[in-house]
Amino acid sequence: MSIILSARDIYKVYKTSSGDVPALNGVSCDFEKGLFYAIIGRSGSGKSTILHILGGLDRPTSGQVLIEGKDICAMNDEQMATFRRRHMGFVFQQYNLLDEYNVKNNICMPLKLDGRKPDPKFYTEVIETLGLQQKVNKFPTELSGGEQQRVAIARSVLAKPELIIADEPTGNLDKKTGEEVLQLLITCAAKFGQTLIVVTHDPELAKKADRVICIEDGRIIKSNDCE
Amino acid sequence: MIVAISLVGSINKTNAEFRRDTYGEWYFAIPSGIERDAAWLEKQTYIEKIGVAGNYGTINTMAGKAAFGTIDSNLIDIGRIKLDMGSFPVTDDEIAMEADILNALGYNYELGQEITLRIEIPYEGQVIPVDWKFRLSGVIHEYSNLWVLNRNFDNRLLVSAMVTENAAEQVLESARQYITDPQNRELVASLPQYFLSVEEENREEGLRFINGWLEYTRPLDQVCENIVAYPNTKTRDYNSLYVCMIAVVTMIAVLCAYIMQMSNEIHSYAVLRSIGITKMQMAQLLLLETLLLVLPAIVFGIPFGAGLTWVALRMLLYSGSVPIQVSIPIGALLAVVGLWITAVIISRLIMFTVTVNMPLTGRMQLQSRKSRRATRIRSVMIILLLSALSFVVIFTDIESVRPAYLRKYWSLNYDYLVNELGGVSVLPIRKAEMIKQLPGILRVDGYGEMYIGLSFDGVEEQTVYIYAIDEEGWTESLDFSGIKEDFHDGKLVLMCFPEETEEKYILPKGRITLRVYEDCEECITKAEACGECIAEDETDVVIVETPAYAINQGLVAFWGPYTIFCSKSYLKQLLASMEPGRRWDKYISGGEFGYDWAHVFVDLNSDSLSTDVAMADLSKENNMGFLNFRQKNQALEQSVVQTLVFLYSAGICIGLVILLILASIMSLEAEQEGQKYKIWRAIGMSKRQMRRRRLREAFLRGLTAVISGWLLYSGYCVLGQLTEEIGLKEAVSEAVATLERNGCDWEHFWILSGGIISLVMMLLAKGKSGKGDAVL
Repeated sequence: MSIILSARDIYKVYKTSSGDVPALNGVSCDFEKGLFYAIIGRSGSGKSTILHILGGLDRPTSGQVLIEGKDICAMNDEQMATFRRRHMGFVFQQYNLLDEYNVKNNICMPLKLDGRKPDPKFYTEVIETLGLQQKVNKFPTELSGGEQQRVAIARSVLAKPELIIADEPTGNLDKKTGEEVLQLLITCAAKFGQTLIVVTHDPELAKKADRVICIEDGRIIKSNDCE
Repeated sequence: MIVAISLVGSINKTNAEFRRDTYGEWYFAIPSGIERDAAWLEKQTYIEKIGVAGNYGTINTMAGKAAFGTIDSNLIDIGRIKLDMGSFPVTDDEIAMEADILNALGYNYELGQEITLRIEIPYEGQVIPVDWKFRLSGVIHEYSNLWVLNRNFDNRLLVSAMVTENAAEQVLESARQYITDPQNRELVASLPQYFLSVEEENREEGLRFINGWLEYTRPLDQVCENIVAYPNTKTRDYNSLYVCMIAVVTMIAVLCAYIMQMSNEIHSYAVLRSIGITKMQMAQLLLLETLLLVLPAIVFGIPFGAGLTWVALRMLLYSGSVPIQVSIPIGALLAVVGLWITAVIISRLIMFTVTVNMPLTGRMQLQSRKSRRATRIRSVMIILLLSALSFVVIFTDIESVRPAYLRKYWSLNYDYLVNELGGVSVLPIRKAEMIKQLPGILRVDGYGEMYIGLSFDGVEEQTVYIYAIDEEGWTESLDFSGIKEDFHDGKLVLMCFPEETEEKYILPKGRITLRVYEDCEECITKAEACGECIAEDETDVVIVETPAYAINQGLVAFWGPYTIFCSKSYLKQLLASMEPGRRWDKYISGGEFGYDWAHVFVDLNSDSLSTDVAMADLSKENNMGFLNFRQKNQALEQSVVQTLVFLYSAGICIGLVILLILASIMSLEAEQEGQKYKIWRAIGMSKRQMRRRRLREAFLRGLTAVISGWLLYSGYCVLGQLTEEIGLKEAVSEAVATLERNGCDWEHFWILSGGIISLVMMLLAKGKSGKGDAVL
């Protein structure tokens, strides 16, 4: 399998009033195309920080993030934004949907921002896969947490990005709904050939991953097996 | 906002037009003009137009002297001298006169009727009387009693009886025939008065030049400025202050609204950024949003605001005599719209900067430090708006005290003074009743005015005035509380002293004795009672004081101490106690009862000219003397009514704008703070505790608003005094004195402050009236 994303010697230091706080200490790893990765670790271990850096939402203090050979850390804000909407999909713990737009507009927003129209066939397929046929004209505030997260998943896959990055996607959901949502996320990613990177601290969820990356104190302590 | 500005602008323009209609649109006047002035004035390039009045002589009337002469077309134009009926004189036998002069001479307003005048032409400190006949061509709208010039007396009166120049010269020529020395005949000439219209930017220069010329030609004389017609400092202050208030409120409201929505908007934009919106796209989106907000508001708001202003002005209870001017002050409007757009742009820029610099991780919401700062700014903005509301209430209330007082003062002035012609008999009640039936007449207060002998323990008999009145017409001037019935029935009389002066005099401790002496020729001439005592009565008396605003009611002795007021019943009882046929002033015992004089009040909103005409006809037909002060009173009352309308409507309008903004901000605040209250409820706060907490919060905000409101108003007063180029200390004491003069005593202060705090508390309690459930 080919490598789609590589992190090279990533360091991240947060500057606070009480001094520098290191969050990542030389993280390096590769992600293969089409696989499901779970990043696990305790609270404050740096798992969300590495995910945000991998997704271009944050910049490392030093190091490189290479996607198909391009270092996204060297991109300016404009290039990074364009790159994000074309090559990445995000699923957040707080769903982060836009309350003033309906489900359909929320789902299509990354494509609209890119000046593209969604492929109707693909759009229908995604909607059907996620069971959102009856919800497309509703607004986020009219949906349950699970439904909102399904909308977020639909939004992340519709632009056909190579990578889907999910930060605790089931953190705000009950166990049953969480499992359903995760299954849908895995199904979607597999169906559309996308690499899925999920941050979680749920070991049960991590068991479903093709690869598991375990982080502690800003370092990868074990890869693939964190038992 | 547009309605508020246009309303303020329109009322301001209406008032300005009214002032110019009433007092003319000329700016300088030289009432003591001389022939040489004309040539000099012609050379002055800063003067736009020169209006000339020629004063040829005076006419004696019941109401005093009136000027006879000419008015040129320029003066008619720049003086806005109008006709109530007919036309200005064209032929030499025609005359146009002011209504009050016609009435005072015993004429009605019938056009074409013959008017015989005795014109007194001044000559060497004396007068030459000339009798002349004219035909009435028109009735001039009152102006001569309203334009008060520094030389507006005697033969420098403004022309009330206007003829053609040729006719006036003929009258002069006739007077010259009485002068035996032909050389002296030249001394009989008209006295010119000059009225000049000058553009605002040239007035300072004009003042300097004309005063220079006057000093050169006639020392100690100065040019007269028409400060009544042109907005004085106070009026300008009101207008600018209101526009500033609207601008400030707009800025605060926009910033406050944006700060309150910022948290939500920032989250939305942060989400958009996370899914790939570029900075450029975000800037475009913000610009589009701003344009969508601003453009329709300007395109639809201005015509809608103008329309609403027009409707609002039509609905205001304005006198029919004032044409309403709808004006949108473009400059002020553009400034406020500009400020509004600036505020919107600043808010959007702040949001753009905050969003761009916000990390796209976590909850994508404002950091708690920034969020706390936004909450603090929101609280400050709300306090500022509440302070603005408090200031508007205080300002409108205090500033309207004096015009309201003046309105009462002017409304107590009678419009017509009527008596029986000849001056020897009373005006019968039936005639007073006939006057009451005329359209537009509000009421007729007839009264008797006589001398009477007054004595009581400690004071020997002295002659004082006694007024026999109908108490219904005097309730505004005299305090009848608790004694009205006894007074009406003649069981007691009132002894009147001007306000706060009674302690200077010996007051009766028990009953007083009143003695009526028969009038003879000598005592009428001397104005002293000296005849035989024809009636005597011992009566109860109540001491009352006359409020200052009642003083101008035109009663000769109203000022004097020991003035007695009795009811008509009491007068009838006194007359009945006399032998039949005895004369007491105009009253004859056993004869027809009536009034010495009758004060007639006309409705300000009626078609007053028709009332004047009907009154003039009625008095001519019924041998009544009739003096007409209606147009003068109406103009004076109207000017204060308009100040009140301006203050109230502008104050209410701005107050409502602030209230609306506050109400919406309050509901947003309640929405945002709802979670906080729910948490409190969840951790054990009772509904009572919560209510108390809210009330305390509302009270503190109200108190802050009241204190700021008073401080702002005091600042406004002190600043106003400082512009008079005096020191700060003097300015403060003068401002305090002005507040006291305007009726702001401690009682007023507490009532007003309490009212504002209650209003704010009501508003805040309403705004935060969540259900207080503990459901999180």
